[in-house]
Amino acid sequence: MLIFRYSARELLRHPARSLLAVLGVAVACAMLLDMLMLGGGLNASFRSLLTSAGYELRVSPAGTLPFDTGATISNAAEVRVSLEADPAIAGVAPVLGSNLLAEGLQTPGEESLEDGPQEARGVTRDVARLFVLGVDPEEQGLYRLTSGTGPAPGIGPAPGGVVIGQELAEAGVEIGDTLTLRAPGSFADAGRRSGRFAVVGIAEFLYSAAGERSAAISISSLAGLTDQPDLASLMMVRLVEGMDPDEVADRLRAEHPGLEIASIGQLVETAARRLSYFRQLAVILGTVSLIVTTLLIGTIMAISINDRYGTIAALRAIGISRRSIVWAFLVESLLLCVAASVIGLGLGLLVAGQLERILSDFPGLPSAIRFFVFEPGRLAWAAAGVLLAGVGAALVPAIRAMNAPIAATLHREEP
Amino acid sequence: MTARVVRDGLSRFRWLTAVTLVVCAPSNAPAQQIPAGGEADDPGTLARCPDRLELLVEKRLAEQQGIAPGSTVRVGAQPDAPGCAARVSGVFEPEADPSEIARDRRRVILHLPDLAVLAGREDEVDRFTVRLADPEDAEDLAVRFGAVMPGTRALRAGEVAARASTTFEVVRRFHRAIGLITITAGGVFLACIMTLKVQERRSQVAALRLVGISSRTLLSWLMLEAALVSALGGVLGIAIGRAASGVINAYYQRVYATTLEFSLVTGETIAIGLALAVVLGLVAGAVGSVRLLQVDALEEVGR
Amino acid sequence: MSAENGRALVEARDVRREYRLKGDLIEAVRGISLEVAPGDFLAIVGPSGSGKSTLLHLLGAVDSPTSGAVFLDGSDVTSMSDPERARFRLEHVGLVFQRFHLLPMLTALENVELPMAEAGLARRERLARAEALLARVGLADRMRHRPGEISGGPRQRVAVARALANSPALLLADEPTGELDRTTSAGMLELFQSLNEEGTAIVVATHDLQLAEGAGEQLTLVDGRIQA
Repeated sequence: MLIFRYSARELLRHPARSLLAVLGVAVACAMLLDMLMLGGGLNASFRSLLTSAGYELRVSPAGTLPFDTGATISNAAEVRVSLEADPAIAGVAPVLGSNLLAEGLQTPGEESLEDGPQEARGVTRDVARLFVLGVDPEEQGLYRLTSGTGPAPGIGPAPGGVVIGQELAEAGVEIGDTLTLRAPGSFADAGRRSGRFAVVGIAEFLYSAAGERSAAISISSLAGLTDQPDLASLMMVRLVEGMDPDEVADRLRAEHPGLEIASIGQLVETAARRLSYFRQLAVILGTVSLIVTTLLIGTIMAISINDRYGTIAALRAIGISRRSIVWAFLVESLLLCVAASVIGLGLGLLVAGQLERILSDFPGLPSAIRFFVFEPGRLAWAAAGVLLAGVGAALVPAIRAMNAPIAATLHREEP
Repeated sequence: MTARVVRDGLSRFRWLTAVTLVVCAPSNAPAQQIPAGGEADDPGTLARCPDRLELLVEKRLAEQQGIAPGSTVRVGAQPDAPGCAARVSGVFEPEADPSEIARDRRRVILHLPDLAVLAGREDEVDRFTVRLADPEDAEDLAVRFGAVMPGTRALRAGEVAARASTTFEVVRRFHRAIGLITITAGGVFLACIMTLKVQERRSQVAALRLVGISSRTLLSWLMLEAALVSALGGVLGIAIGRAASGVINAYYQRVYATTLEFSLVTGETIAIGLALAVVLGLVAGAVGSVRLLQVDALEEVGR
Repeated sequence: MSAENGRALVEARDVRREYRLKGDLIEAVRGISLEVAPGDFLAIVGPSGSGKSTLLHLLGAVDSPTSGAVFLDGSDVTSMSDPERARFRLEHVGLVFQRFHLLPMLTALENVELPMAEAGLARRERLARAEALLARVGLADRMRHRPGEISGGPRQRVAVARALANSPALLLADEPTGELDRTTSAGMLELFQSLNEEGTAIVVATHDLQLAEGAGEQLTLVDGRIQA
């Protein structure tokens, strides 16, 4: 305890120095925590999002990832039946995605287009672009209803209602309103591929990007609007309980060579490869943080110990053991690092929030994705990293001081 | 400008639409007999194959699949369809596109009419790029195009570039935030080191003050030292940064098979880095020195 | 430590101490033999660079001789390992330095406690002993003060109290009055004499004539040799 008291007070003896050291290490600790959160955050967040709806596999056209390209699965009905016949599969949710134009919306900021094929005159209509998902309302994993109901399943191209996302709801669209949805195309056939859909529900669309206007209608309605019969952009597959997703995915891939079949784990890996830059950055900056901590603590302790060489020699002369002296310095550096960690971890969480706000503007990424995911384990690792780096850094000058010849040092220090 | 003129102008330009196609490498199995201009085997996916279908293949794809000019490949819009036979007329190296990094996509180039037939999108394009006789008209025309063609949007080239650069703008802001944190840490570190360095020499400084060297002279010496140390540190840091930049570029260029430069150390970067280092060093040195010069010299020497 | 049957408390046998300084060989102590008996008060005097401090360090097992041997209460400290020597010093030798070398952030009481804590004494016991020692050196009212809050003389007294923490039979002091004024030095001499009367053997290396004359015996060192 005496050693502890000595080490603590020694830090207070030079308040400016100690404060600057604590601040410097705190910033490094904050950076380390942020990088630890970034390193595993994206994967964890992505996995959490993919598993949230309960579909363990994703089926997309060969060589593509879901909605990565405009490619589609042909003979979708047949594919669905074939998959549903597999004993490992409990349900298959087909999805068709397309950009449509919605007329009748008063959405601020949207350009108003003048109607009329040839002349820049005529009636003004407000049109908004929506990303519309065609789903089987009885088997879907893309949205969670917050009010109202899903679209009617619908057979054929007859419209059966539309579920809108939060963006549209906030723009003033309500259940009971009617939207005219039209496939974008040449104005020559503007009247042809459109349909009037009653808004029957409002939902949280799980995979929508920030600001994206999403809606869902029955897949048959969308197929009719976009002239894409029997096609699907993606199929989400729900497995029978107890089935191993990776094993089932591997087996199905062999049975359906024209399809890309991936488990959530495999999708997360692919996404991780695409966004590997962030993990690599996290590793590099995390390492730099530890280096900064080591350098800062090492330098401070070296200079501080240098100042006390005479006293150290005298203490050794009177019989204080090397071990006690080294302990004193390690405790000193530990106290510095503990104080820095407390500040740094709080600062790290704050900074992570700011960095998250920047990265949330990434286009095309679902708004539910988080780059920085907090886990107590990461906090512990950050603190442990800083403490170890600090203590390790103090060891070198402490051992040097401990091994300095007593008599020679006393000679040098005495006038 | 009337729509007729616009249409005439548009018709002058050829458009290449990037569509994901399935390109099958030449295999040992005999090519399916799809007569040029005749019916495809699977009429459900394609009504007919274009006459004398030719395409250019991206260099990476050609190398991976062993394709060379003169090779015959099969192209189609669906992976499970037999597709159409096409002759590779050449291999091209696409311009390095940052948005394609980490995306495992390979490109081929076809004549627009052929692609439209293959993709089942005849008389359709994704977009037009318009070159104007007078670029000053761009803003006005962008508005009027949109009015003339409902369901479309006309954007100036700059706007398109801005929208396409969103990813990199986000990354740039992220890097700037990280840079700010790093500079803060570096600044605090520097302040700490300078304080220590200055304090280490407190008895020397006190003795010099007692023999008559003015505080101002001592301050200028200390500041000069701080500036030199931080300038040297800045130079060393830039050297390390350049070396690291080379390693980063070599690594990512290999990983993503691209000629893009991921890290650039420009003259501006060097100038800013050095300036920051010196300024931070001077501020840190000033903080430590001023405090030191306020200490009682006699008491310091007497200690 | 105590000597039995007249055995010397400290015995140096032909000790030499050489070291290199920037390539030059310095012979700080050249073949010195001496004995210090229990209860002796010996002053080692000599000009600067005569080897006084070096001899003191050799006698206290702070330094090892290049040749020769040093015995402390019959134990050959020369052949001990470094940790063994440290332990031996802790328990058997008290050291006082010219610059005091007190820990500035500990109080006088805590400074005196330090060697006892190292020796493993329980807290209550060492507190009581530290208080008694500080009272013994006349600093009962300064126990909670830090070295920076007291002047040179009292600081050196704290150092003496620290040196006596583990009840050594031998007290070695290297220029204990070097930083003190004359009056304070006189007070220090009185303290040493008082401790000596209680049975502590004291060896001081000093320039201070007043202190040297106050000691029981004097030894003059010139160029690392005892001057007859």
